[in-house]
Amino acid sequence: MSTVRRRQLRIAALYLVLGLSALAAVLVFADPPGWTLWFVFAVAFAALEWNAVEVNDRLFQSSGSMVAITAGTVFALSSDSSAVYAMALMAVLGPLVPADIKHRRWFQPVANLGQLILAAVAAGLVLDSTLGDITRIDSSVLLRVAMAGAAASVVHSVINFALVSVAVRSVYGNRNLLPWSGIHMLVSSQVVMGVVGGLLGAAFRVVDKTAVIVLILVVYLVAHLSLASYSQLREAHQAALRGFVKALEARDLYTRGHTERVAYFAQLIGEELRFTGTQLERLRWACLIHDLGKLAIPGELLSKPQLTPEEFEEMRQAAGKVQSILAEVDFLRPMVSISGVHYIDLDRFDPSNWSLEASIVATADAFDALTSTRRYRMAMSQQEAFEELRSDTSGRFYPDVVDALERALERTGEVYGATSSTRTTDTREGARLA
Amino acid sequence: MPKRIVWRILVAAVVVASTVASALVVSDSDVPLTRAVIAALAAGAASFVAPAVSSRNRLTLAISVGAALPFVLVDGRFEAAGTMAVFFLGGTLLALTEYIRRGSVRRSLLYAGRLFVGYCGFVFAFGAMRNLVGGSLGSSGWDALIAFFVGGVIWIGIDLALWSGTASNDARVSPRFVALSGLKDLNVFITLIATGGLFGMMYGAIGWWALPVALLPYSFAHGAFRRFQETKSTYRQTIRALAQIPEVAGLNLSGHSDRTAALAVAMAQDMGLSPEEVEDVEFAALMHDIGHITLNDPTVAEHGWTREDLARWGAEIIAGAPSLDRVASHVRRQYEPYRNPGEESDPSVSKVSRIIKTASAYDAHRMGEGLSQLEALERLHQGAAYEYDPEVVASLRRVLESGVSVNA
Repeated sequence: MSTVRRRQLRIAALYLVLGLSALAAVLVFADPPGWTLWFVFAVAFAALEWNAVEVNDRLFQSSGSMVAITAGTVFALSSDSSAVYAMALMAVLGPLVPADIKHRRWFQPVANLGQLILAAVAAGLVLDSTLGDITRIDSSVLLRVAMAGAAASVVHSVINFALVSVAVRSVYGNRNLLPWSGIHMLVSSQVVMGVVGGLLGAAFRVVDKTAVIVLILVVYLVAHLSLASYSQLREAHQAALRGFVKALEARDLYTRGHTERVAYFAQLIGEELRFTGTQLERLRWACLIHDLGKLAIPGELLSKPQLTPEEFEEMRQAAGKVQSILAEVDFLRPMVSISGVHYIDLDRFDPSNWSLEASIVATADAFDALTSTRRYRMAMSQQEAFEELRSDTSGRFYPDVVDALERALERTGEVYGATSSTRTTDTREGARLA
Repeated sequence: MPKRIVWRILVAAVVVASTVASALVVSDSDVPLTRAVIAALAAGAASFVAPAVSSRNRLTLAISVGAALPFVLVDGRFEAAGTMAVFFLGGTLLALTEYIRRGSVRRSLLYAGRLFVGYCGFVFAFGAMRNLVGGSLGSSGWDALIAFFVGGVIWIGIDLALWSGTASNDARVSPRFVALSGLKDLNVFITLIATGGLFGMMYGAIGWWALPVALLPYSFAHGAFRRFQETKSTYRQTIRALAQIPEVAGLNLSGHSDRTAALAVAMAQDMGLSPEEVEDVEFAALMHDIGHITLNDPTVAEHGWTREDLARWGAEIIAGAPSLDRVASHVRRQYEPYRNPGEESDPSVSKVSRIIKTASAYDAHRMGEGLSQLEALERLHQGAAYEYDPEVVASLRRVLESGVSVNA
């Protein structure tokens, strides 16, 4: 049994025991909800949880937590039931994602089960303690309920994220924690979700008509499904671009995999510099398009080891045409300017027009070029490549960015480039033609 | 401009007449006057909030206001005539704002009229269902919900039918295409109606608190719709930009992919293809010559190539994206003739491929060889039934005669 697996087992067991004992305590001591109503909420909750939508990178947004808050509010406001019972029981449904069961993934669902129960119990207790004393329900309590909902939602997400980061840290070590560093961005959306959830729950109690719940859930389901198709479309969009990148690389054996590697290095740097999910995504798009200009360059120029200034200018113009049609796409325009690292005239390079993101793409691009073998030169070793980047005086490669890449590669333990020093041609040209 | 003045007087007269008529009906009913005025103003104002939709159908928050009216106008009771009169007044305001914004009397009247006719269907169905199931279901609100649901279905049905009738006339596309593309906005329509119902059913109990309660979930949905449509248009723009790479590299006729796509989409709509197929036509037409990129490669230039090779290489590039699988297969088979002499036509070649083939050939004749519209069309007619699908060529003729601008 590997170390990771042993650690996984330990964390999963710990969370499961904690979660299940909390659940047992709640089931014994708290008041159960009305079952018909609970069932309606539970179905909606499971439907939303199981189809969570990927909004940014590995962070999933689910509307399920809002339904849970609504349900919790509804039951907290009724004298003979409690939020904590309803929410804890509902949380059990969340991790039973059919896809996980199909693929026999066990660590995440089991750890999630314990962790979600604990978070739900805490949120439920918040709702019960703030709303339990309300006896007469009318519109005067709505504001108070909305605030309680927000508090419960924040408590839920904070506990959830704390438990996730403890689990990730103790199983995989610190380096895999980085994508989770943007978590604070989600808190504001959790507050909104909580306010909405609480308000809907209270309104439902005030109106006292079961049928209203159908209308509430219909709107949520439709919104969620639209968000899901948005997410799918976004994937398709990126996949289409990837397809074209592959087409580009099929033409030149030496640059095969270059774009994907540049994107990977850029991501490592971005994570090291604590970029948010949105920033990382921009970076990825910029890397994907950074080499597309090559498609317009005549094949014989691409394979030449040494170019005359006229030929270099021709190349620059051909690539520039592609850049300008890509810049016509509103969404890609900022990415085009970030990725404008190609064929820049080093004599006229103006550092004031350069951004951190542009420097990241340029560094990732040059690093990959230096550490791989091209037609006109052999690969350098990783150490030499870093020396080369640091000795570049143009200002394209920010020292912070180069340092970040070096740290990131140390963290992951990967080594690129030749193992021994076998330099053949002018390296400056190499960096330029990356 | 006397004609314009006549129009304005006419519009003003219609507005005044409808206002007076609905005011008479409202004053005759139990609807409080202030409430009626507020509701009508709300309907007019809400028409400015329009969620993003796939089709060109205009759906606005005014639909939500309409859906809420049966619950809110008279306390604890529903009155059909008063409700319709108030919405009619709202519709008049809405037509007026549409006219001010767009400047077309015909369009704004058509739009408001369609909305009102659909609404009448909703109110009648709602009233009838309520009488039918009322009382038997207790006070939990299920009777209202069921009536509301049936009314909503009727409303959507009427709206789709009327819209596909009028819009297909406007844009010279088949009604089937318009109706199917309208169906794609079903989620938006349902959200609007449900939001109105939510407000209506809560208003009696919590008053104006119902507004945030109903609008918060709606705004969530509104954001989701907008993101979806934005990504969709970005996707299309990206494909368009990528398709131009062979052109900027000087490997293909400049603007060929854009013109072919515009023509092919018009033909596909004319032939009544479904919105999914039309989208395939658009993407496949944009990228049908993407294989020309390969001509940049010195080894390809050395060994030569055929049209089939180009189509295959293009398809291989497109197939790199799993979501564009269908498009790739259409592009792969675009070079195939409609049928070979003495053989039946191959049914496995899609209509989409045939449309692209014809549209692309027409553009090549026109812009590449400099033929006139008539000459180019004549060439295609000569090849019809062998090289080109006769049905597709007939559609091309219809599209060209209708004057759709494809040289943009």
